[in-house]
Amino acid sequence: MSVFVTVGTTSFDQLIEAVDNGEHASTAFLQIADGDYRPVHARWCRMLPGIDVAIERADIVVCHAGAGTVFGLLQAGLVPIVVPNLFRRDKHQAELGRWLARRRYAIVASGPDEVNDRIARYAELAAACAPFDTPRFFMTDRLNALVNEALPE
Amino acid sequence: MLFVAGAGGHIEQARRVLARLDVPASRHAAVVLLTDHDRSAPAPFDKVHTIASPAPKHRPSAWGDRAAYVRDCLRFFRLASGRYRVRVVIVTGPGFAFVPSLFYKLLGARLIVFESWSRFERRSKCSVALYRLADEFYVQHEEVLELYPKATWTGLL
Repeated sequence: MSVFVTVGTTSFDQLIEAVDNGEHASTAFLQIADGDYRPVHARWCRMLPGIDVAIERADIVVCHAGAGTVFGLLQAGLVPIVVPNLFRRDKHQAELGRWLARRRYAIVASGPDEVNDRIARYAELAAACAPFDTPRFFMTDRLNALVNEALPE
Repeated sequence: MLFVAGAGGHIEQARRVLARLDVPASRHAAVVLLTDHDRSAPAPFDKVHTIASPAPKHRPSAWGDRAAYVRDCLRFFRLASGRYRVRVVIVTGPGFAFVPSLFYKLLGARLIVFESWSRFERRSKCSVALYRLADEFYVQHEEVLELYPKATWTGLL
Protein backbone atom coordinates (compact mmCIF):
# COMPACT_ATOMS: atom_id res chain seq x y z
CA MET A 1 0.00 0.00 0.00
CA SER A 2 1.75 3.18 -1.18
CA VAL A 3 1.32 6.43 0.71
CA PHE A 4 2.04 9.93 -0.60
CA VAL A 5 2.29 12.78 1.89
CA THR A 6 2.20 16.41 0.78
CA VAL A 7 2.48 19.55 2.91
CA GLY A 8 2.18 22.12 0.10
CA THR A 9 4.45 25.15 0.37
CA THR A 10 4.70 25.32 4.18
CA SER A 11 6.73 22.93 6.34
CA PHE A 12 4.94 20.51 8.67
CA ASP A 13 7.77 18.56 10.32
CA GLN A 14 5.56 16.89 12.90
CA LEU A 15 3.47 15.17 10.20
CA ILE A 16 6.52 14.15 8.17
CA GLU A 17 8.26 12.74 11.24
CA ALA A 18 5.17 10.79 12.29
CA VAL A 19 4.84 9.05 8.91
CA ASP A 20 8.60 8.53 8.60
CA ASN A 21 8.62 6.72 11.94
CA GLY A 22 5.39 4.82 11.34
CA GLU A 23 4.75 1.32 10.02
CA HIS A 24 4.06 2.57 6.47
CA ALA A 25 7.34 4.46 6.03
CA SER A 26 8.88 1.89 3.69
CA THR A 27 6.16 2.47 1.08
CA ALA A 28 5.75 6.20 1.71
CA PHE A 29 6.91 9.16 -0.38
CA LEU A 30 7.04 12.48 1.48
CA GLN A 31 6.97 16.03 0.07
CA ILE A 32 8.37 18.13 2.92
CA ALA A 33 8.66 21.74 1.56
CA ASP A 34 11.22 23.69 3.62
CA GLY A 35 10.97 21.45 6.67
CA ASP A 36 13.94 20.91 8.99
CA TYR A 37 13.26 17.22 9.63
CA ARG A 38 14.90 15.03 6.98
CA PRO A 39 13.20 11.65 6.70
CA VAL A 40 15.40 8.60 7.29
CA HIS A 41 13.04 5.71 6.46
CA ALA A 42 10.81 7.00 3.66
CA ARG A 43 11.69 8.48 0.26
CA TRP A 44 11.25 12.24 0.20
CA CYS A 45 11.59 15.48 -1.76
CA ARG A 46 11.18 19.14 -0.92
CA MET A 47 8.92 20.27 -3.78
CA LEU A 48 7.50 18.14 -6.57
CA PRO A 49 6.66 19.81 -9.92
CA GLY A 50 4.89 16.66 -11.17
CA ILE A 51 2.84 16.17 -8.05
CA ASP A 52 -0.16 14.85 -10.02
CA VAL A 53 1.84 11.76 -11.02
CA ALA A 54 2.74 11.00 -7.38
CA ILE A 55 -0.90 11.40 -6.41
CA GLU A 56 -2.06 9.09 -9.20
CA ARG A 57 0.42 6.40 -8.20
CA ALA A 58 -0.45 6.47 -4.50
CA ASP A 59 -3.07 4.28 -2.87
CA ILE A 60 -3.47 6.82 -0.06
CA VAL A 61 -2.80 10.56 -0.07
CA VAL A 62 -2.11 12.32 3.24
CA CYS A 63 -2.03 16.13 3.22
CA HIS A 64 -2.07 19.22 5.39
CA ALA A 65 -5.35 21.16 5.49
CA GLY A 66 -4.25 23.69 2.89
CA ALA A 67 -7.31 24.48 0.82
CA GLY A 68 -5.52 24.37 -2.54
CA THR A 69 -4.24 20.87 -1.87
CA VAL A 70 -7.46 19.58 -0.30
CA PHE A 71 -9.88 20.93 -2.91
CA GLY A 72 -7.65 19.71 -5.74
CA LEU A 73 -7.77 16.18 -4.33
CA LEU A 74 -11.51 16.24 -3.62
CA GLN A 75 -12.32 17.63 -7.08
CA ALA A 76 -10.26 14.77 -8.53
CA GLY A 77 -12.55 12.34 -6.73
CA LEU A 78 -10.04 11.24 -4.09
CA VAL A 79 -10.59 10.83 -0.35
CA PRO A 80 -7.47 12.19 1.36
CA ILE A 81 -6.39 11.88 4.97
CA VAL A 82 -6.22 15.53 6.08
CA VAL A 83 -4.11 16.68 9.03
CA PRO A 84 -4.58 20.37 9.94
CA ASN A 85 -1.26 22.07 10.63
CA LEU A 86 -1.89 23.72 14.00
CA PHE A 87 1.81 24.44 14.52
CA ARG A 88 1.57 27.53 12.30
CA ARG A 89 1.01 30.97 13.81
CA ASP A 90 -2.35 31.27 12.12
CA LYS A 91 -4.77 28.44 12.87
CA HIS A 92 -7.09 28.69 9.90
CA GLN A 93 -6.36 25.13 8.77
CA ALA A 94 -8.49 24.07 11.74
CA GLU A 95 -11.50 25.75 10.08
CA LEU A 96 -11.15 23.67 6.94
CA GLY A 97 -10.56 20.53 9.02
CA ARG A 98 -13.79 21.05 10.94
CA TRP A 99 -15.73 21.74 7.73
CA LEU A 100 -14.40 18.59 6.07
CA ALA A 101 -15.19 16.46 9.12
CA ARG A 102 -18.70 17.92 9.44
CA ARG A 103 -19.46 17.14 5.80
CA ARG A 104 -17.53 13.83 5.82
CA TYR A 105 -15.68 14.75 2.63
CA ALA A 106 -12.34 13.48 3.92
CA ILE A 107 -10.72 11.53 6.74
CA VAL A 108 -9.59 14.17 9.21
CA ALA A 109 -6.96 13.51 11.87
CA SER A 110 -6.78 15.94 14.76
CA GLY A 111 -2.98 15.81 14.77
CA PRO A 112 0.10 13.99 13.45
CA ASP A 113 -0.08 11.44 16.29
CA GLU A 114 -3.24 10.01 14.70
CA VAL A 115 -2.02 9.75 11.13
CA ASN A 116 -0.63 6.20 11.21
CA ASP A 117 -3.86 4.90 12.71
CA ARG A 118 -5.84 6.64 9.94
CA ILE A 119 -3.58 5.11 7.28
CA ALA A 120 -4.03 1.63 8.77
CA ARG A 121 -7.83 2.04 8.84
CA TYR A 122 -8.09 3.86 5.50
CA ALA A 123 -10.43 1.47 3.67
CA GLU A 124 -12.95 1.39 6.52
CA LEU A 125 -12.85 5.17 7.07
CA ALA A 126 -12.95 6.10 3.36
CA ALA A 127 -16.05 3.96 2.88
CA ALA A 128 -17.86 6.13 5.43
CA CYS A 129 -17.05 9.38 3.60
CA ALA A 130 -19.53 11.30 1.47
CA PRO A 131 -19.09 12.30 -2.20
CA PHE A 132 -17.69 15.79 -2.69
CA ASP A 133 -20.76 17.68 -3.88
CA THR A 134 -19.84 21.34 -3.34
CA PRO A 135 -20.95 23.32 -6.42
CA ARG A 136 -18.22 24.43 -8.81
CA PHE A 137 -17.90 28.09 -9.80
CA PHE A 138 -21.10 29.14 -11.59
CA MET A 139 -20.56 32.91 -12.01
CA THR A 140 -18.32 32.83 -15.06
CA ASP A 141 -20.62 34.97 -17.24
CA ARG A 142 -21.04 37.65 -14.56
CA LEU A 143 -17.32 37.75 -13.84
CA ASN A 144 -16.48 38.12 -17.53
CA ALA A 145 -19.05 40.87 -17.98
CA LEU A 146 -17.60 42.84 -15.06
CA VAL A 147 -14.04 42.51 -16.29
CA ASN A 148 -14.82 43.30 -19.93
CA GLU A 149 -16.85 46.37 -18.97
CA ALA A 150 -13.90 47.76 -17.04
CA LEU A 151 -11.26 47.24 -19.75
CA PRO A 152 -10.79 49.82 -22.52
CA GLU A 153 -12.12 49.15 -26.04
CA MET B 1 -5.56 43.41 -15.04
CA LEU B 2 -3.86 43.02 -11.70
CA PHE B 3 -4.19 39.91 -9.55
CA VAL B 4 -3.13 40.15 -5.91
CA ALA B 5 -2.49 36.78 -4.31
CA GLY B 6 -0.25 35.30 -1.64
CA ALA B 7 1.58 31.98 -1.59
CA GLY B 8 0.19 28.51 -2.13
CA GLY B 9 -3.59 28.27 -2.35
CA HIS B 10 -4.05 32.00 -2.91
CA ILE B 11 -2.14 31.80 -6.20
CA GLU B 12 -4.01 28.62 -7.12
CA GLN B 13 -7.29 30.51 -6.73
CA ALA B 14 -5.94 33.34 -8.91
CA ARG B 15 -4.96 30.81 -11.59
CA ARG B 16 -8.46 29.37 -11.54
CA VAL B 17 -10.04 32.82 -11.88
CA LEU B 18 -7.78 33.62 -14.81
CA ALA B 19 -8.64 30.31 -16.48
CA ARG B 20 -12.30 31.32 -16.43
CA LEU B 21 -11.79 34.75 -17.95
CA ASP B 22 -12.61 35.28 -21.59
CA VAL B 23 -11.04 38.61 -22.49
CA PRO B 24 -9.71 39.34 -26.00
CA ALA B 25 -5.98 40.03 -25.91
CA SER B 26 -6.60 43.30 -27.75
CA ARG B 27 -8.45 44.63 -24.72
CA HIS B 28 -5.69 44.25 -22.15
CA ALA B 29 -1.98 44.92 -22.22
CA ALA B 30 -0.95 42.48 -19.51
CA VAL B 31 -2.17 40.20 -16.76
CA VAL B 32 0.02 41.00 -13.78
CA LEU B 33 0.36 39.03 -10.56
CA LEU B 34 1.47 40.79 -7.39
CA THR B 35 2.40 38.18 -4.81
CA ASP B 36 4.32 37.81 -1.55
CA HIS B 37 6.41 34.69 -1.65
CA ASP B 38 6.04 31.42 -3.48
CA ARG B 39 8.40 28.76 -4.75
CA SER B 40 5.95 27.34 -7.24
CA ALA B 41 5.96 28.60 -10.82
CA PRO B 42 3.42 31.43 -11.06
CA ALA B 43 2.33 30.71 -14.67
CA PRO B 44 0.21 31.70 -16.58
CA PHE B 45 0.47 35.40 -15.69
CA ASP B 46 2.18 37.72 -18.18
CA LYS B 47 4.21 39.45 -15.49
CA VAL B 48 4.87 38.63 -11.85
CA HIS B 49 6.08 41.02 -9.16
CA THR B 50 7.05 39.56 -5.81
CA ILE B 51 6.70 41.49 -2.59
CA ALA B 52 9.47 39.51 -0.97
CA SER B 53 8.50 39.44 2.71
CA PRO B 54 7.28 36.04 3.83
CA ALA B 55 3.64 35.81 4.85
CA PRO B 56 2.86 36.69 8.50
CA LYS B 57 2.47 33.04 9.57
CA HIS B 58 6.21 32.59 9.11
CA ARG B 59 7.31 35.65 11.01
CA PRO B 60 8.44 35.44 14.61
CA SER B 61 6.52 38.35 16.11
CA ALA B 62 3.78 40.91 15.63
CA TRP B 63 6.46 43.64 15.58
CA GLY B 64 8.12 41.77 12.74
CA ASP B 65 4.75 41.69 10.97
CA ARG B 66 4.30 45.45 11.20
CA ALA B 67 7.81 46.22 10.03
CA ALA B 68 7.47 43.78 7.15
CA TYR B 69 4.11 45.24 6.17
CA VAL B 70 5.57 48.74 5.97
CA ARG B 71 8.42 47.40 3.83
CA ASP B 72 5.90 45.62 1.59
CA CYS B 73 3.95 48.84 1.14
CA LEU B 74 7.08 50.81 0.24
CA ARG B 75 8.03 48.14 -2.29
CA PHE B 76 4.54 48.29 -3.72
CA PHE B 77 4.54 52.07 -4.14
CA ARG B 78 7.94 51.94 -5.84
CA LEU B 79 6.57 49.28 -8.18
CA ALA B 80 3.27 51.04 -8.80
CA SER B 81 4.63 54.47 -9.58
CA GLY B 82 3.69 54.98 -13.21
CA ARG B 83 4.33 51.45 -14.42
CA TYR B 84 0.79 50.20 -15.03
CA ARG B 85 -2.61 51.74 -15.67
CA VAL B 86 -4.68 49.14 -13.83
CA ARG B 87 -8.36 48.83 -14.82
CA VAL B 88 -9.31 45.69 -12.90
CA VAL B 89 -7.95 44.36 -9.60
CA ILE B 90 -8.81 40.78 -8.64
CA VAL B 91 -7.88 39.77 -5.10
CA THR B 92 -7.71 36.21 -3.77
CA GLY B 93 -5.94 37.15 -0.51
CA PRO B 94 -4.15 37.58 1.81
CA GLY B 95 -3.54 40.64 4.03
CA PHE B 96 -1.08 42.65 1.99
CA ALA B 97 -3.79 42.97 -0.69
CA PHE B 98 -5.41 45.89 1.12
CA VAL B 99 -2.97 48.66 0.13
CA PRO B 100 -2.81 47.79 -3.61
CA SER B 101 -6.60 47.41 -3.66
CA LEU B 102 -7.20 50.80 -2.05
CA PHE B 103 -4.57 52.48 -4.22
CA TYR B 104 -5.98 51.31 -7.55
CA LYS B 105 -9.59 51.69 -6.43
CA LEU B 106 -8.89 55.37 -5.73
CA LEU B 107 -7.45 55.59 -9.25
CA GLY B 108 -10.69 54.23 -10.70
CA ALA B 109 -10.04 50.51 -11.10
CA ARG B 110 -12.82 47.95 -10.62
CA LEU B 111 -12.15 45.84 -7.53
CA ILE B 112 -13.28 42.20 -7.42
CA VAL B 113 -12.50 40.30 -4.22
CA PHE B 114 -12.75 36.57 -3.58
CA GLU B 115 -12.84 35.58 0.08
CA SER B 116 -10.35 32.76 0.46
CA TRP B 117 -11.78 29.26 0.05
CA SER B 118 -10.23 28.27 3.37
CA ARG B 119 -12.36 30.65 5.46
CA PHE B 120 -15.59 29.36 7.01
CA GLU B 121 -15.95 30.66 10.56
CA ARG B 122 -14.12 33.95 10.99
CA ARG B 123 -13.50 37.03 8.89
CA SER B 124 -9.96 38.31 8.51
CA LYS B 125 -9.30 42.01 9.15
CA CYS B 126 -8.25 42.43 5.53
CA SER B 127 -11.45 40.81 4.25
CA VAL B 128 -13.61 43.05 6.45
CA ALA B 129 -11.93 46.10 4.95
CA LEU B 130 -12.11 44.78 1.38
CA TYR B 131 -15.75 43.79 1.85
CA ARG B 132 -16.58 47.48 2.24
CA LEU B 133 -14.28 48.59 -0.55
CA ALA B 134 -14.97 46.02 -3.27
CA ASP B 135 -17.26 46.49 -6.27
CA GLU B 136 -17.97 42.77 -6.11
CA PHE B 137 -17.24 40.55 -3.10
CA TYR B 138 -17.46 36.81 -3.71
CA VAL B 139 -17.65 33.89 -1.29
CA GLN B 140 -17.10 30.33 -2.46
CA HIS B 141 -19.09 28.49 0.22
CA GLU B 142 -22.77 29.22 0.74
CA GLU B 143 -22.49 29.15 4.55
CA VAL B 144 -19.95 32.00 4.42
CA LEU B 145 -22.80 34.33 3.41
CA GLU B 146 -23.60 34.41 7.14
CA LEU B 147 -20.32 36.31 7.62
CA TYR B 148 -20.82 38.55 4.56
CA PRO B 149 -24.57 39.01 3.97
CA LYS B 150 -24.12 41.32 0.96
CA ALA B 151 -21.60 39.08 -0.78
CA THR B 152 -22.31 36.95 -3.82
CA TRP B 153 -22.00 33.17 -3.57
CA THR B 154 -20.12 31.83 -6.60
CA GLY B 155 -19.40 28.17 -5.93
CA LEU B 156 -15.89 26.78 -5.54
CA LEU B 157 -13.18 27.91 -7.95
